[in-house]
Amino acid sequence: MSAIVANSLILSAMLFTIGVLGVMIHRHPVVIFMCIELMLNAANLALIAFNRHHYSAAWPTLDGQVYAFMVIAIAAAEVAVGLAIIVSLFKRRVRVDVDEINLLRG
Amino acid sequence: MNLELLGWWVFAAVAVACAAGMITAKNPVHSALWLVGNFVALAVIYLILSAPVLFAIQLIVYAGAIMVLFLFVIMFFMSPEARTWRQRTLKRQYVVGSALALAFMVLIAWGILRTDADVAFSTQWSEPPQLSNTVTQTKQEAGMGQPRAIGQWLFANDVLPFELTSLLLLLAILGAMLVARDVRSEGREKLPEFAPHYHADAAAGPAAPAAGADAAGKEVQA
Repeated sequence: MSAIVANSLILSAMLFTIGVLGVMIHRHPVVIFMCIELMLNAANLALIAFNRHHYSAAWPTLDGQVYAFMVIAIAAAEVAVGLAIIVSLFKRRVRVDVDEINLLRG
Repeated sequence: MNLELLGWWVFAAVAVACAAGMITAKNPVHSALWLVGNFVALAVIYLILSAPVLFAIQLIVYAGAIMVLFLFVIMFFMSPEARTWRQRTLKRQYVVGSALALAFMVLIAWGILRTDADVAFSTQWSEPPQLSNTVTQTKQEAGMGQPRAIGQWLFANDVLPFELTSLLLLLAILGAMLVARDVRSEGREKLPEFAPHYHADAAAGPAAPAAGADAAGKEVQA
């Protein structure tokens, strides 16, 4: 495994961890959403790094890059719906805090 | 150290620094700007990893469209006092969250480093997967990750997911319109029960004190 691929995997793990940390310590839904985007990007980086690793002349695969493309498309859809939910929360509540959005809690 | 690896280190440092700045910024707008920097650095790393198409898509979709959407929501719908979220954050949450994140990082890094590179990451497959003729014919014409190669791979192997993506985006548009529509213009009886602030304000007028509204809200939620 080339150094750049191995380094990219570690970088992906670090970015994912930073995203997880942000989700845990933040209570603002928009910032939590940004941390989720960061985690999606970390996963994309791992996909692209593995694609670079497995690419060869005998097997010119591009599956990793195509999966990353799909992840970006799904992230765009997710952001549209998620931000619409947040907008509707802003419209209905004075203060938006994930600790107080507990209507669906059992 | 060749130039590729040097550039990788520079932009990896930028990406990590921007991510750290994002989760430590006090203002969500600053968080969004840090995240843009992180996306741009990651886009350059994609380029270094032989993915120029994803470099362009990352810049256009993520750093362009998605972050503009975030900034729209923050600037249009958040009052300035709604941005002082950090005052109410618990100290304990930082400590426990950091410890858990560190443990998670150690777990992932241990999983990556302990893996036997010769076995798990070997490119020597016993039998390469069967490719369609289009892909095998054009594999020498385009370099790795070039737009032509991506397009041919996408339409030779992943046509159905690609088409389903368009359906997904259409449904996302409809869902976003449905969720974010203005409920106030549709009559107050349609407001859900979990909006006690709005009900109290509407009943008592705009100059009503907020204490009564908060108390009513707590009663409803309890």
